Amino acid sequence: MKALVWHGKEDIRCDSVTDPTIQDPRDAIIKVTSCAICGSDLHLFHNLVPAMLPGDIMGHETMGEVVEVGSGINGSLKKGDRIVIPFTITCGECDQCRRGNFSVCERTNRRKDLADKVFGHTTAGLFGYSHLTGGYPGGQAEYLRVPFADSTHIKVPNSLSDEQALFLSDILPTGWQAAVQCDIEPSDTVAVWGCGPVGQMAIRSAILLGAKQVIAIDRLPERLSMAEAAGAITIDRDQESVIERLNELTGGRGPEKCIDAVGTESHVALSLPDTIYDRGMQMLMMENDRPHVLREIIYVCRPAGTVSVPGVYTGLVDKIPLGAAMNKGLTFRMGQTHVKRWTDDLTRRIEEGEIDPSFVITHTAGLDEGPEMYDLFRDKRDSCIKVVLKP
Amino acid sequence: MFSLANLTRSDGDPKIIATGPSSLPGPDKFARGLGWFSIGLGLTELLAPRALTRWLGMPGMEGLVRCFGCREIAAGMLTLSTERRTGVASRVLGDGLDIVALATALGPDNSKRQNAGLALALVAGVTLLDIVASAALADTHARRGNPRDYGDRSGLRGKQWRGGGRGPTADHASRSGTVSAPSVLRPASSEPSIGKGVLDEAPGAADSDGEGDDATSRSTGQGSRHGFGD
Ligand SMILES: [Zn+2]
Ligand SMILES: [Zn+2]
Repeated sequence: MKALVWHGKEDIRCDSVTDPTIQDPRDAIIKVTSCAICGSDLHLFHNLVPAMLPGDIMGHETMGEVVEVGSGINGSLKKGDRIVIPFTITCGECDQCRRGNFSVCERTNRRKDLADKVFGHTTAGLFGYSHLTGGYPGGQAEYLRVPFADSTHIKVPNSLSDEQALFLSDILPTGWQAAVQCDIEPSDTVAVWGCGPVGQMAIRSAILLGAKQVIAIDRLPERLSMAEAAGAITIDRDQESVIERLNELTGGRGPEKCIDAVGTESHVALSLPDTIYDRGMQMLMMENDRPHVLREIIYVCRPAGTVSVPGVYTGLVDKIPLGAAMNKGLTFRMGQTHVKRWTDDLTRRIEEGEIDPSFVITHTAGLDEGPEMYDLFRDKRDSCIKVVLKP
Repeated sequence: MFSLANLTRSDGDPKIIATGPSSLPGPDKFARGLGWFSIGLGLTELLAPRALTRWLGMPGMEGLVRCFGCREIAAGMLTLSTERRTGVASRVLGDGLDIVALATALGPDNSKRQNAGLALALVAGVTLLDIVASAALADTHARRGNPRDYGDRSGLRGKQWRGGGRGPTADHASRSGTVSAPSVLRPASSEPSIGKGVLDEAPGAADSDGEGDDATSRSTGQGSRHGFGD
């Protein structure tokens, strides 16, 4: 089959690889009908996530049709079922899964040894996201083996198109969890840093969850226009001071709830000296992430406010003003998404027409155009916000 | 096809049969070559400055050559990183410094001035390559044309959204009207079902209509001029 394979920094190729086969009774194989490139795939593209190996297949936003099931699936899935695959692989049985903490499932990371050493305790296995999270082949491919498939799937109602359902795999529940973690009150201002796909979903989630106002921060006009379409007030960080504008919009108090939908790769600019410092430290391998947005959030967030972090961070960060965070009494909430915790509710909301996540798709291409699409998406050329690939 | 990458595959995982074209555009591959060249030259300047100054007839300039070596290595690292355009631009500046330094060795008093002339010609050639690479990179990665306007992509259902909303689960409806602390700080009994009880009660079964109405009426009372909708 064809698959997008990681060969090194900025080097992704559409390779011919052997087809996946059932390895375990709880496996299923799907024929992929749609998959997407995620903003967090760019961290892999830039080789910022440790433990990627040449030959790893990319992709963790995938859906398709079941073509083969293992003997242990017990009727929860059958050939021909149309399913979306959550990017977090969940066993459904361990203590964390039973608590709904699916992204820290204790059983699905097959490189538990590695994760225990690096993180202290293992987290769930993820598709196409380095050997720290199991080294599972990803879904930017024609076929995908889904481990623990009896619990790692979301059934898709026939009334929904691929485009409407695909983002249940990651960005919709990720934006949703980011907003839910904010415990939004009707009097709250929610500020969202980064208007990429997750930021767009977080903006809409905050609106659906009843925020008084939602403020979207980015530097690209096309992304800001998409944020505005949902009803957000926008701040163009190239044109105006983020801190000043946020204080202005909140009567000097700062936003109660702040969402960092940027993560490790803050834009580097001369006007933001700390980003240049971070980039230098990164190159000298003295820091993994560029936490400019976190610094800005800690500074501007209203005291006793909440900082929610759906953006991916990978390792050690430097110069975090923890003194300000502590004295302001900020609450930090973060984590990979507990996808299945939210998807029943979100599927219903899509069916009922409350939200149609397909609004975010700006580019659709074949799998063999995938490598070019990575380069295009990274450069944000052609106003690209979200790429869907059709194998 | 033999591929080193296949040695690291777990049993049963797909293995590479044939490989396709890389996502790395041509100008980027070329620039990477320049980056490695920078590092090679830089190491030579750093580790063997005396051999270079002797050949160029520039005795006593070893310190400067070592400095230039450090500069080359830094430019090389930058060129090999994702900050490739800055790296190549810094190479062009560095080429300028090299040319100035070599020009001082062309005087008639330098018996090795022919060598210096040869070096100068080489640097001039490399400068040309750097300028071409720099232009090609800018061209390949440029954001062209006007940014598109996605103002029609709300993704939300029409006029209904005026700051109102439904909670993620029915438990949000049980919020006390007077307590507005984050749920994590509230007594366990009134905590929304984040992180527990999710499997005991399907979120999909939660009827949150009542709560939605409640939230809508609360927030329409705000009269915010930044209300949503339309
Ligand atoms: Zn993702
Ligand atoms: Zn589990």
